[in-house]
Amino acid sequence: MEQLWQDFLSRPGIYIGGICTLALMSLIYRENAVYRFFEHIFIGLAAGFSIVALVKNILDPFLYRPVFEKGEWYWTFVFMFGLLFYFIHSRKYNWLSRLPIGFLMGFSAGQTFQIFANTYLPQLSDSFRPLYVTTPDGAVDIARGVNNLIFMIVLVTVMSYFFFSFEQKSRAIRNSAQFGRWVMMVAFGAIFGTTIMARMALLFDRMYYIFGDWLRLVR
Amino acid sequence: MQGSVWQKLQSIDRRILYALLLVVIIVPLFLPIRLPTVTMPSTQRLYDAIESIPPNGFIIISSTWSGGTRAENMPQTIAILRHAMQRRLRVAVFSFDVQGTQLSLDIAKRLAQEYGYEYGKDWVHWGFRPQAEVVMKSMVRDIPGTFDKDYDGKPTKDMPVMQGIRDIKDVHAIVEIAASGIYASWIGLVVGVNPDLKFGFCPTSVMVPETYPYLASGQIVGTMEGMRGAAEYESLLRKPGLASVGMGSISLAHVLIMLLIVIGNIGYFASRGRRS
Amino acid sequence: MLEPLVRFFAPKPLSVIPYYVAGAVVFSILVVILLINLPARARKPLIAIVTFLAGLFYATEFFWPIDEATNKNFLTDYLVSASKLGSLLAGMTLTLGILSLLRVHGRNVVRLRSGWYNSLALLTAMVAMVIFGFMDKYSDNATAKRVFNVLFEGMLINMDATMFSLIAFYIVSASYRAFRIRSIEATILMTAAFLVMLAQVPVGLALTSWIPRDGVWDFLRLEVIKEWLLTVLNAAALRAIAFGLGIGSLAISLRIWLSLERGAYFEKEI
Repeated sequence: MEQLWQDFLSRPGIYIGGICTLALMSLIYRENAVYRFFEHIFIGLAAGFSIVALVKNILDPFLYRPVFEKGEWYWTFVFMFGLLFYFIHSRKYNWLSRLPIGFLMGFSAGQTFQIFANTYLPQLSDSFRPLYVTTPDGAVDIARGVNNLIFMIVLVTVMSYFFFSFEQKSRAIRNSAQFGRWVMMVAFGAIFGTTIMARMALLFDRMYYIFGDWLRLVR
Repeated sequence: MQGSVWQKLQSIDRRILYALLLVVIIVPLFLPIRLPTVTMPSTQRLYDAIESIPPNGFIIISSTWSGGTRAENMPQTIAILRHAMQRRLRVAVFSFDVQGTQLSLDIAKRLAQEYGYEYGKDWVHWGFRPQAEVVMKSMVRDIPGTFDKDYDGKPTKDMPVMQGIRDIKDVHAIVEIAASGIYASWIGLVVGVNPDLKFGFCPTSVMVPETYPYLASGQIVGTMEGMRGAAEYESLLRKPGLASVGMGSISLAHVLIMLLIVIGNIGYFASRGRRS
Repeated sequence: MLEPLVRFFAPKPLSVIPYYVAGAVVFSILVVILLINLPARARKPLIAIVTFLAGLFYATEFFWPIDEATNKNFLTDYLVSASKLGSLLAGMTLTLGILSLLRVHGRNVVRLRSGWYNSLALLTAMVAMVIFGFMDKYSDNATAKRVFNVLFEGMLINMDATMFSLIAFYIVSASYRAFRIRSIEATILMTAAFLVMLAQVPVGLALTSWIPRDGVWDFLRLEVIKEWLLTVLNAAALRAIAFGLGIGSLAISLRIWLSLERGAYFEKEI
């Protein structure tokens, strides 16, 4: 018991983290009071951390220091403009919060042109692939040529699936769209497969934390 | 009686499923399954890209993840930082996530001690930056101006690690470790402006398929695909870590899920056959 | 003409900063009072103007020709300031939900509603994190730093990870119950999923590891099949979807920038 207490004192964060982990995992059996209690603690910690982050990572470096250490007093206007966000809680003056929201939305929207050009134009140019491909020593690379052909067919058929501006009466377009739909299922299957990996990794991390970091039963 | 067996196959109690999942995850922790990993081309390309950076080159690591995805993003962050420090590159770390800032700082401090990296001279942490797009747009033209303070509020202008770094052309590589689609902003605002820049992306496994169009066009030079990618990278670095340990458990979990899906479908088809 | 304005907004000596800050605060309050008294029909146009001007900066910076000699245009030098402005403004949204939390849970505690102890735990955790978070940053107290470490790394990060890990159980249950091969599409989806799942774990790769690499039959190795699925079929399909998404997002962004967007939020009376 004394040893356990000493171990707890030397690494209290790990012990408390382990207890919190087990408390939240009790949900998989059924909803219970212990889970709800720790869930509320989690929300409180997250909310408190956001306040700390606001002051430590935003107001201190972007407002306090520029204004009171470099004399850039005009940042006060930006801070006051940002305070308008909090009018979202006011029933009567709620509309004032739309000003900074609109400003940020405008900021993001203005950059979309560049993002679109730099993201999709290279994608478009990469989509036009050669069907006759040679290896560095001059031999014909049939496999790559076939793969390029398949790539372009898949691209066009999947795009044809999304032609909603007109009714797809032509049999060619309907069949193309159907094929595109099938190929999309391959992509969604791949997404499902990788999603499984992601979720299992998260669970493994928790089990390693409990049995490795906390109970030290595993090295 | 037989009909009810097929029905039962489709409706195993969820608590039994959860217990089975826990067993397949926990048992390999005590009885490790050691099977060789195969390094995927995308991981190899990222590794080769970092290897090709000249000594004393400058790499930016953006660590935009939080506690929820630490299982995958933490081993990725450790692997990339390790590689950069092994190669004695100048490293700048920052995050677009508040939690990620603290988490990446802790990891970087630990590894810096291991590799004898001196803060300010060999590496720097620029802290947290919200509103990713405006920061990216600004850093293309002026990195010291955009990141004029480090995580602790100290000026970065005169730090030896930042010497000679004016704009994005002075950066050899950027690696983003994230659980979101922020790579699109990097490609749109930074990579597109400087095609010589190597951009690596370390996503969670969920996002892996959607990165392939960008791998194909060369806009992303290489990826570390979730925990498996981190395990592959650890084997390339010859420094096994948490990701390598986890592959046994995750393998069995995958097999369990596939078996359960097959069992469910057997029950479905058999009971459908009996009804017809 | 702009010279007096530039001089007025230039950095000032630290001795006069409090006066300038006070003046800025008073001026801002006066502007807010003016906005509050704005007629209702002027509100939406004002929001539209603010949104447009904000977007105009970046759009102009991108489209305006650059000077070959300096590799920039007249707006490029303001990008750093714009990024700081955006960071400061966006950062202030971090705590928008706090007031709601305080209101709801504070009421629960004061009126001793059902589950009030949960609300008390929430508020206590919030206050503790704030106190020790600030002490960790602004004081040298070793105990405070240790407590903050327990709260952040020990509790917050672990609980965040645990919440996400619960999804693993639900995905097992959902896959088992819902994944039925009822159609061609479902068959294709499941086949692709199984191939990818097997190829991404060592246990699966071991099934075809006996096939020689770079041989005639190496295309039957699971990792080769997976690589082909992802780089040819998956990449093409998702690229096609991405084109649609890209054009859609460009259209939406244009509509938001020009305040043409419609919907519950944009059409609400203000």
